[in-house]
Amino acid sequence: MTAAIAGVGYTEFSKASGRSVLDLARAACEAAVADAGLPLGAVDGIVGFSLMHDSVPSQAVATVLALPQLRLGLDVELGGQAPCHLVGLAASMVETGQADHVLVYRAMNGRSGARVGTMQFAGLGAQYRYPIGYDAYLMYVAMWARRFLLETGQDDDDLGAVAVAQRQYATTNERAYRRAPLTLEQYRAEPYVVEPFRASDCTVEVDGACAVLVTSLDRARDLRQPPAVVAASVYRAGPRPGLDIGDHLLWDDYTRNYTSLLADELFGRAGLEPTDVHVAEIYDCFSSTVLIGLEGLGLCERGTSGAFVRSGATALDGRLPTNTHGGLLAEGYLHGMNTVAEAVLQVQGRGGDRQAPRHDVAVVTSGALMDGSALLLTAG
Amino acid sequence: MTEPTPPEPDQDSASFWTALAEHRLVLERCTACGRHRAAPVPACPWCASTGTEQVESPGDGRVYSWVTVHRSFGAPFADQVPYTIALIDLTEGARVLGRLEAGTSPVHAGLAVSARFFDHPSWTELRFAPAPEAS
Ligand SMILES: [Zn+2]
Repeated sequence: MTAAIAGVGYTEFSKASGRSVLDLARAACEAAVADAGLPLGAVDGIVGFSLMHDSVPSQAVATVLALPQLRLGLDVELGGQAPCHLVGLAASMVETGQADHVLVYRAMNGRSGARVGTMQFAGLGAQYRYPIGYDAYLMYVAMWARRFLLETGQDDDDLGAVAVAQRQYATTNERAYRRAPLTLEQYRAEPYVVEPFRASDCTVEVDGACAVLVTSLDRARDLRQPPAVVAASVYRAGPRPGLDIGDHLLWDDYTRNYTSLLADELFGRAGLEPTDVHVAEIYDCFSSTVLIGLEGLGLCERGTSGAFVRSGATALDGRLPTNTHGGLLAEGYLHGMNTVAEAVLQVQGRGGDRQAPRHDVAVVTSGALMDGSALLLTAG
Repeated sequence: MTEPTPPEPDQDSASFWTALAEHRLVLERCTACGRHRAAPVPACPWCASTGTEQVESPGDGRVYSWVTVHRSFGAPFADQVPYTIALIDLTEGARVLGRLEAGTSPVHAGLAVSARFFDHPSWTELRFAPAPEAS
């Protein structure tokens, strides 16, 4: 049996939702089920993720959705690595008949409440970071970005190209938090936050929630929206992934993240090649992860990702429309759940003003550094 | 100046912090494969051997990467920006984090540095400065 995504649901993305995280989770999940055209009671699985208890458990969501039963309830303490991974786990449960309709969600008052960007992650590695002022996740990604740019012969302007290209998409996305156009000149004029990152290299934190509904392809074909087939799903942590989410000290090569390690298996499982991809939605808590991801997945040659973006290849009329919602940089930080949802909309042909002309195969990634996950979604 | 929250050593890491307080950088060396590591852990992350010896390091290394913090994210560091945190590959092969002492500029990959010990009221921080022979 093959699994597919049959619906997506969002709340508004804002700087102050005025609602509880549970209410956000409930609303996004309800919207995803309605999008698929299912009754709420058909849902028998809920999977979510959080960092430092910034979300609500699947059990609570099942309660306020008044579900008759859960056959799968899973809450994981993970960050941006999670969305594709959890969709893959949900798909496996569906494929083996252990659950029929599984919601995967992320909910957070990520702007007005607990903010991931400045959160101090408890963990065995914390003692080596926070006391010395190495105390925000963007510093770790910036550390990788610096080495990546140096070693691949790229520079700040290559980061800026990502921010500029993605902002262009956001101008036509009413859900996006940052919608004003951005030029490279404006980008260069921004002060550094943590060098080499400027504000536009960083995701914008928001309050909100996003959910997708995973079911079987057979069932999805009878539902309201065209199915987005889960053609392949892979999670990968490389060797020595560290003591916790912020510990990268034992990683060897900061120019390659998990995308380099999972690409062969991802494409192999789907019987596809990188050249078959029509749309890419690359996890982008920071601009550099788009460049590293494009190279790691083999979507462009090593050392050419910045030039690839600057050439217009990732724009709507380019060879590989990428981060068509504006990415986490512009749409907002729903921790990559919205990256998956955007890929679903694209594959379904529901992208509206930002719909990629060719959209039979989309690649999605989740995560930035040592570990992460990816999906290949195909038109059903 | 607000003092940062001190590190909270655990059973594995206590020896690292105790040595720093004595202005010594002590690494763990795997007796099976010979690799060094800075943050102490119960077994070798390369070969899983629990055979470990502690070795004192002269603290010499080279910059692998670095970030310069222009906007502070915690009160203790607000009056210290801009400051630079670097990843240092020690001569022994272990990779460690440390602040580069003020005035270390310009920084470049491969810059030769050596360890410095910066005392806080209740703990000692490992920092780095350009090695005397650095070019
Ligand atoms: Zn060993």
